[in-house]
Amino acid sequence: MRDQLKTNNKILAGLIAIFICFHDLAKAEEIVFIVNAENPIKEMRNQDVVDIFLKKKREWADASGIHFIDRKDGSVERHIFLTQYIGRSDRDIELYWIGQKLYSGNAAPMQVLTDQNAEKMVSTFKGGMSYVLSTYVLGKGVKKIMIQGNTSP
Amino acid sequence: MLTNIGSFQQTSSVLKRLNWVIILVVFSFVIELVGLFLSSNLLVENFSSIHMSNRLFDATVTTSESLEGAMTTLNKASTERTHLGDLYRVYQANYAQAHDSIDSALQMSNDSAGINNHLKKLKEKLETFNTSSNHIFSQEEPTPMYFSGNVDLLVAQEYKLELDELLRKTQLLVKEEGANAFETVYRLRYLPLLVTLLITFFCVSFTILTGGAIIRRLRKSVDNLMEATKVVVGGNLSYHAKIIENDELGWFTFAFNQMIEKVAQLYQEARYAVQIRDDFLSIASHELRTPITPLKLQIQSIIRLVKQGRLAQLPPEQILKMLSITDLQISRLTKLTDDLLDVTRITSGKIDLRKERADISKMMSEIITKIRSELYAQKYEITMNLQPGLFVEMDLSRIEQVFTNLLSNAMKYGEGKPIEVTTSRTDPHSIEVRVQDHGQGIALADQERIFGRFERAAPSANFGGLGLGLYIVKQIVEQHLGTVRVESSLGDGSAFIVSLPSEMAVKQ
Repeated sequence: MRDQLKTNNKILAGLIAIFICFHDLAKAEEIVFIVNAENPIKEMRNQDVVDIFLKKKREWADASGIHFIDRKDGSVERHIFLTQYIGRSDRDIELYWIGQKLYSGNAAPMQVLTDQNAEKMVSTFKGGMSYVLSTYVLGKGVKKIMIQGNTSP
Repeated sequence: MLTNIGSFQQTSSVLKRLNWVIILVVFSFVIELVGLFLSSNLLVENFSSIHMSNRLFDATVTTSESLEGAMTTLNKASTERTHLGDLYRVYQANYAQAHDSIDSALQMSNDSAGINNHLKKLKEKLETFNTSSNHIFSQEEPTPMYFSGNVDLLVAQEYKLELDELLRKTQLLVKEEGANAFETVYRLRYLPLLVTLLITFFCVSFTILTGGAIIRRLRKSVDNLMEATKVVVGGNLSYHAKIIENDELGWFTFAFNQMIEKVAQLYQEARYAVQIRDDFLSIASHELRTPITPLKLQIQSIIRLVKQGRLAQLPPEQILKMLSITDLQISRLTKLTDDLLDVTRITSGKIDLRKERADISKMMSEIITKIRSELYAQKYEITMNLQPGLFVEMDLSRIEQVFTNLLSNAMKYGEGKPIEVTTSRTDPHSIEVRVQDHGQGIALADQERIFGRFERAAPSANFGGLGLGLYIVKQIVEQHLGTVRVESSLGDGSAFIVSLPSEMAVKQ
């Protein structure tokens, strides 16, 4: 009986763990944009995010360079970023950067694997900007900014 | 000058114009060479741009390869953390090569501002990359890993990415410039030929037009002269050829006009001389014939009387009258012949003067005495106002001939009115003799002319004579270094004034 109880507890714990896990996954459907803590910007339009990502806009208001840190292809964050903010597929973006490299010389932004790396890079570069899961706890070197005009859920 | 052909320099007209044509041809050739050089130089500059683009592109490729090598070394150093010294030397070698390549490219791209700016940014970013890279090498421990990445390495990669981007942009600009230069070369591949053809066409046209214009002007001058020659040959001696240019041809035209003027003048003079000769022959034959007829009549009459044996029956007065008439006509013939001989002597310069000192008033008195009977016969009253002691060095017979002529004229044209003869000293050096009649006078227009050969103021029909008297007077007076002039007006008579140098003047 006692063993049965231990088994049930394990099952319950597993279920709870699975619940917690799914709960976290559900919450990971949102990303937030981060910039260096010293950056005075508090919010930007969705179109500005698109222009920065596509390197159509390369400087902040104070003329300092923008370092946009992208996330690895196939990551949840990038999927959300492309679908909800950029409005293009992975394939479209890949072709876009091939074309850019050929005709304008612009290269795709650097990609990092984790939120931690993204945060560290943004905190390292004063003009840094990236995105992380909304659940990620941010350090002091970065800050969130609000994106206006994004109608995605 | 006209006859001295040897000294005539025929260069400034025809040859000078031909020189201009040659200069134009040489100038055209020089222009053509300059045009060819400039157009070829344009192509050479573009070829040079292409070459420079290739070298710049090579430099960017070298930089890119060096950066890749440096990045690989960084990856090893960051992840393995072994043999850091060797890795650092390899990194430094790559960095130095990238740095040198950018410096070299900067020197080559001075003419292209866009590429130069990119390379300067590239150099700045390379320094940033190097700083970041040195930070990795300076760490003793591996840098903390954040799940799947070394942040320092990521930072270096970010700088490397920026460098790659700038390199790519630079390469695109270099390629664009090279392509533009190549396109320019291709587009202008026929430019030297075209420029040569155009300049040749222009220069040849210009030379032909200019040379043609010069030849036309030259021909115009020659045609002008030919036309003038034709007109003059046609008999128009008043024609003046237009002087078109101030050159030898212009001078020749001017000389031609002068020659024609001279010919016209000579022609007029010749015609006038022929007219005078004809008139003289007419007058002379009439004058010579006039005394011959009565002379012949008188002689025939005497012959007839002698044959009839009636000569002795005639009273001596009758015979004397007949002989007097004969003598008069012979005198007239002698006078005419002497005049003609004098004119011939004067014209040929064979007249000899035998000068001697004489009182001209005394001589005038003697002359008047000689012709007094004739004066009385023609009922002339003569008034003499003779100043004594007026000595002149003169040929007595010739000066007597002068005043006999003048007095004879005064009686011929004096219409029976008084004649006045005056001698005076007008100044210390000259003595003047004035023979004044009160006849019909001489028109002003004729006053100069009457001193010429065979000239006469009155028509020969009314008055006899050859028209040689005043000519002989003038010539004799001038031989004595004197002058003769007439003061007259129609209806008031005439005064002939002979001025001779006084004895004092002659001595001086």
